[in-house]
Amino acid sequence: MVPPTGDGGSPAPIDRPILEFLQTRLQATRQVSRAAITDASGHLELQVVFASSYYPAPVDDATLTVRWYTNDDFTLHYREQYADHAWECRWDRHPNPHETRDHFHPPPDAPTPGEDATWPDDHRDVVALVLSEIEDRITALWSE
Amino acid sequence: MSETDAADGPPPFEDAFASDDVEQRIYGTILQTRKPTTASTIADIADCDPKTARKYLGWFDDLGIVTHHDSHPATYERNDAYFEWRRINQLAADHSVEELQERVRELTTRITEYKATYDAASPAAVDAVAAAEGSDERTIDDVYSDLADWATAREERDRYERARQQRTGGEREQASG
Repeated sequence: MVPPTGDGGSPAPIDRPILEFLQTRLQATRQVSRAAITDASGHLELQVVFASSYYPAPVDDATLTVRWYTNDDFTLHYREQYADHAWECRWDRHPNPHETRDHFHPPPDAPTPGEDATWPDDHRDVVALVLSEIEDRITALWSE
Repeated sequence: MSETDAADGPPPFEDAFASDDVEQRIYGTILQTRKPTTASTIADIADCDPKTARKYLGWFDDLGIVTHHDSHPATYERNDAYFEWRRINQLAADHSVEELQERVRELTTRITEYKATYDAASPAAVDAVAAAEGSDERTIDDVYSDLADWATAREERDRYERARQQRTGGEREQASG
């Protein structure tokens, strides 16, 4: 009854062992205050909360949610919450009629459609790339 | 350690994967090895020599984490059954029969809602692009995310149900033993 997934053609479920692997690594870094796997928002995902000490005062909260699927598609969604608005962007790999399978939804509001892009295959490399972009963003925030 | 006294910002990020040893690097690589793959390819990705990779892959094979194919050369792939088994055991250990039943009910409700929303029996029966183009309020990202959540809910429900059966079976054995 369950059709095969993983061929890239049909939607695949979340790959929980990969989320668990990433959770352990991210939780151990000083820039992350909490990393938890939850489906409280209706999505099973890894929710990563960045340490508030990394952000200037106007940022109330900064999070990265990671969804990695068993066909190696993914969505990594970064969000900074301010008193009256949010700043967010998203790194995606999934079928899309507007862009290539790999694409980026730029800030400040991660709109659709996004921009064509190319991401690494390995989950660790994708996360490292995204963390590096977030680190650049934090540097820019402090120099504003 | 004070992180906030620097006027020019916080210290740099720590590398989340820098402290992984060779075993952890091979394990992380195995997680994404979804087709039979040679030890030397796995060694390339994990940045170690093939001999080391073969040693750990042999051990992971003993543990059931990888499936070993006795071809020439030998290949390895992630053993999904191992991760399913581990998760179901964990659920059965962490939750009561009632909690597991309640979770099966919640997931069934969620799955029923997706079936109604997309008028389809399963996520694989929905063409994500067509569903997005036929909808004013849902973008392709929303649809794709919904279909993946739907597929996830189906798998999760199956795991909770198997954990429930495992617990119920275990309690019966205790009662009769």
